[in-house]
Amino acid sequence: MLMSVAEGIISGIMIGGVYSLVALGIVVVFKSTRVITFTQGGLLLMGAITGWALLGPAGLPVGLGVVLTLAACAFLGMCLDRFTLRPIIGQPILASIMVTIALAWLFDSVGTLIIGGGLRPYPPLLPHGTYKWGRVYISQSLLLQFIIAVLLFIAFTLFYKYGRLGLAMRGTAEDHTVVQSLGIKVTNIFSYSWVIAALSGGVSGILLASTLGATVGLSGIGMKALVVVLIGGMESIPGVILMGPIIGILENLSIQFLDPLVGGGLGEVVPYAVMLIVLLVKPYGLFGLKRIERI
Amino acid sequence: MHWVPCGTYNVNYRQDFAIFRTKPHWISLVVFLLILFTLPFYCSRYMLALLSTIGITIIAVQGLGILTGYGGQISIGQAAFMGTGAYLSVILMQRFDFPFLLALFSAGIGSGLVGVVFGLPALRIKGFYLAMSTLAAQLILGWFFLHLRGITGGTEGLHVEHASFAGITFNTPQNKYWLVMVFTLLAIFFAKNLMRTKVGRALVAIRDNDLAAKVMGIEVALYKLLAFFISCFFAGIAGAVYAHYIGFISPVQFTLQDSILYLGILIVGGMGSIMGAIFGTVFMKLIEEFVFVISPMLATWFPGFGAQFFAALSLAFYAIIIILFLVFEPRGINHLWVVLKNRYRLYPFSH
Repeated sequence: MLMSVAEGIISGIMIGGVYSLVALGIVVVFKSTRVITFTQGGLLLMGAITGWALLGPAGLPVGLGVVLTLAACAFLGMCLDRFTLRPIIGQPILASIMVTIALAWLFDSVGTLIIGGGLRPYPPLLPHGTYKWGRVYISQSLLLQFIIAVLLFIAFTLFYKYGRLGLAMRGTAEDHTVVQSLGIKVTNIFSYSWVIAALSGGVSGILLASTLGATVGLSGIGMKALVVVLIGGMESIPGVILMGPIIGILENLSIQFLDPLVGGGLGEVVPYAVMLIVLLVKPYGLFGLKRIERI
Repeated sequence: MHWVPCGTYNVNYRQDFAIFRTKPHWISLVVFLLILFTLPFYCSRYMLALLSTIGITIIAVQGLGILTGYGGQISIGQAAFMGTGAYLSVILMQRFDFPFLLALFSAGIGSGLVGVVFGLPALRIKGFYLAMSTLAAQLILGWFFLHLRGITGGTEGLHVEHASFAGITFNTPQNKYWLVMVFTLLAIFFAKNLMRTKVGRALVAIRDNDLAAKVMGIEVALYKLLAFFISCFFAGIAGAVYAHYIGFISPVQFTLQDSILYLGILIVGGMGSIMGAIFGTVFMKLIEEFVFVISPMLATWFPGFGAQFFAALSLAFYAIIIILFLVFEPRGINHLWVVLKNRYRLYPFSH
């Protein structure tokens, strides 16, 4: 009992690390463009499928395949911004929501047309053994996934904090007019944000698909990442880092302990129920900024 | 600018408020109704089925239009509220022996109350946050449909008996078509008039700027919840009619995808207009039929997909159409219609 709780918590943290990585893309896009993207799951799916196509049937070496996949994702992110999101700047919020949902649909159906409904296994990228720690078993691939996610987070934080572009992006997050008067082209920053989002989706797509196999169902992770972002607070990167693992744990424990009681399917619902409660108590998430509105 | 037909002089409030002002208006209305209600005598079953589904969808989309188009509260849960209405009406009729009409209205009201519960977050949040909380409503209600096996039948769903009132049993396609159309017309009429009353204007004020609306003395909280109630009432009625039209309900008929599709229909048709919901529904259903027709031809290129192919293809079509409309004509088909109408009324002159 206790051991299975521990295992549930640990694997929840590991899976949650990947949720955080997916969610990072959503936060970066929101911070600079004020668009909330439902497309993240679709980008993740595209990453997973491109990775599968390059590593599996095309048989490229792992390093080259991953780099090419990420390049493709970055290009896709740029195209998304240029051709679908830039034309709707200035329209009400529903427009951006619907465009990103429609893009997610598009990616889903393109994914279905490429790989069908089945599961396409990846060539082994991460080791498949388990570590034993006391009486608790941890899957090696999950642990490695988690470590990669943490390393990427550190890299991103350094870039965001000290890089020139990172600085420009943080400035854009503060105030569009001010950065424009300082000579930064805001629309370029939008593009870069989308590229980062696509990269975060692509990396996590490859990571997840390397253990789970590439399926169309992977795009559902994007919705979970949205829940993570909402609970953590839309603007808050620390919130995302913290809430990803917590949602992972919640999901795992509710699958383990509540599902047998009520007959399954709770792993999908509990995060949303928690989100509803959090939104009612703290409407801007746990770490979000409260917006003061004026007429 | 909305032009009235030439030679219309309103000399009293009755004329000023009229929806149908002139003789040609009335004539076209009567002709339209005649055609609409005599269609079953010379139309194929396929056409009747298509028109009936369009009618049911119009009811649901009108409801969503009141909440999202007029009220500005984004809801990604309309299909779940429709499902609530469908299940409620069927359960009330089967377990509690409610007569059809009573079950229908109880289902509408019950669904409206469920909507109010899930609309409560609207008092504190708006925009995207509200969209997410209604999405949560969709998933939670969907979970209930699936897992309350004792009541909803779980994945097997529920079989629905034929509706009947005033001695008529609605068991033929023609009968059901008339039933659906009556409710569709009632819904359109109700929605159109509601939006011209105090409630409708309050909702528009809240949509445009809720703080300003509050300052002007509009009870924002009350009207937001009222909008949720009305919208989900429409959804509940649509669901109940749907259940009795199709004769069988299961959780897969009320999915997140349907909810999003209703929003898409609203955008394609044009937000904040009654005609827009109708145009959008007809347009999207025709697209669906079009995909249904072409997908067997395209399926030869992608062998080994079967039913999935149609689903994926129609999803791609919807997505592309929604994106194209948002990028090129965000005001929807209704705007084109208004432009056309104004051009016609001013004909020889440009303005």
